[in-house]
Amino acid sequence: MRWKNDYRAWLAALALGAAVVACSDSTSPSGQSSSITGPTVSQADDQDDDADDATIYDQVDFLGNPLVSEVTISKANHARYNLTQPYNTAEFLPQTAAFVTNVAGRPAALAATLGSVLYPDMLVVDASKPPATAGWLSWALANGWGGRKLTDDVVDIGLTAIFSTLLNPTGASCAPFTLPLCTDNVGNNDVVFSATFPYLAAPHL
Amino acid sequence: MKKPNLTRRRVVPILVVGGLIAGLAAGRHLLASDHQDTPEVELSPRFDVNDVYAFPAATPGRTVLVLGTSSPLTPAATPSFTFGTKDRELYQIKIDNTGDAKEDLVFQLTFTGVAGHQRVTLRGPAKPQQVGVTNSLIAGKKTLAGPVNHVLMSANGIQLFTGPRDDPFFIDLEQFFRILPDRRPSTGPLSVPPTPASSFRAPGSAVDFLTGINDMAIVIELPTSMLVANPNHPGKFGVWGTTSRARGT
Repeated sequence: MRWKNDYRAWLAALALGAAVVACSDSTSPSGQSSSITGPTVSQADDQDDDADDATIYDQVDFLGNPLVSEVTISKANHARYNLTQPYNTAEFLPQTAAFVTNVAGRPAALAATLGSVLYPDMLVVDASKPPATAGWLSWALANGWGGRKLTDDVVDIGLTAIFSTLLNPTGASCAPFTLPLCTDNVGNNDVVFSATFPYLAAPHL
Repeated sequence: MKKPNLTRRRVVPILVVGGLIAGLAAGRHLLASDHQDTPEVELSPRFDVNDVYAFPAATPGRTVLVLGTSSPLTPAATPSFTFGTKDRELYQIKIDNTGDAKEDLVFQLTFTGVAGHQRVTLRGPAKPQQVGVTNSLIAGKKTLAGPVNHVLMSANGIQLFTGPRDDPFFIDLEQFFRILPDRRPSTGPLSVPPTPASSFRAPGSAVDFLTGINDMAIVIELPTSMLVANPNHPGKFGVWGTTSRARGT
């Protein structure tokens, strides 16, 4: 059966990919001592963290999984989405499913599969798994640590999950990580991530 | 909604190959996923949660949590180099470690002072005063306090960095909006009606829209054991990020 052979090929590719990632990590310095001072802005000059302890805060923005609201939920509903928490994101699942079936033209079964992975909308981690195992969207993989790594190309992974032959070959727009819709052909961050805390690269000044 | 385990288990075989491909794709990099999400956050960019990350730290047994926020689509050396202050704004990273998609632990970050001289205070990780979209500050001892743009470390091993960093997301956003015009922001250069397109651009023509763009990052590293304290749900936790406005402001 062809899956078996493909599986071996992917394993080899995975090992290669991991090696590439390991090599591309830089050892740039942490943000420890840089002296960034932004220009003055007009903002309340609140100097005392012991003040305002009794403040009530109302949620303005919310984000769990990348791309769920941005891509699959229409803009008009984003404001409402931002006032949810993962435990009540279920009301948006039909909108994500409708995007997959109507806008992307993909089978309902694929929409159901994606929905079960992306909802409730939060990054899912299984820290009992080895750290080097798969990241975003692949947490369901038996041995995946999950979460979302800086090196996860979530755009291509998400596009491929929706538009490719990967999860369902019916009516697919492209093979995994190919044009027209399964890659945006932006494969790397503009600068290299740091191998040490705080991991995100130094700012552009 | 609690996700039935059965459903997840059924998904596993389908995603095995997907996961391997995802691993392969790690040789490339990421995209900023939630920039300028609504007109409200467009007008108040400090409330814009761009990206949330959770990944294993370089040191075994530790986990890194990232909340990327504030004016990511703003070029370097602009007034975006500041966090919203405590009298206006609360930043939170929330953790579910019991599997019910409700927060069991929260990290609460507040800022004081003007740009270039801001200080940060971290409360938690601790049980929140309230679950949901209306929140108040955890009482009692603060975990960390110190200047923005420095690495701070608590006695119990929590590391914190807050400040401007390169925006870690990468995407051909311009082309994305040509394909899905409905999602474009209502202000700024990307707001003009795009020329429709039905495919992404070829290598060499594709453009990382976030090249040279910073965000205001909150990066926390801590022992994983502090996140997965629930023995009934070993090793597992969910992560999301929020911003909140002080009521009346």
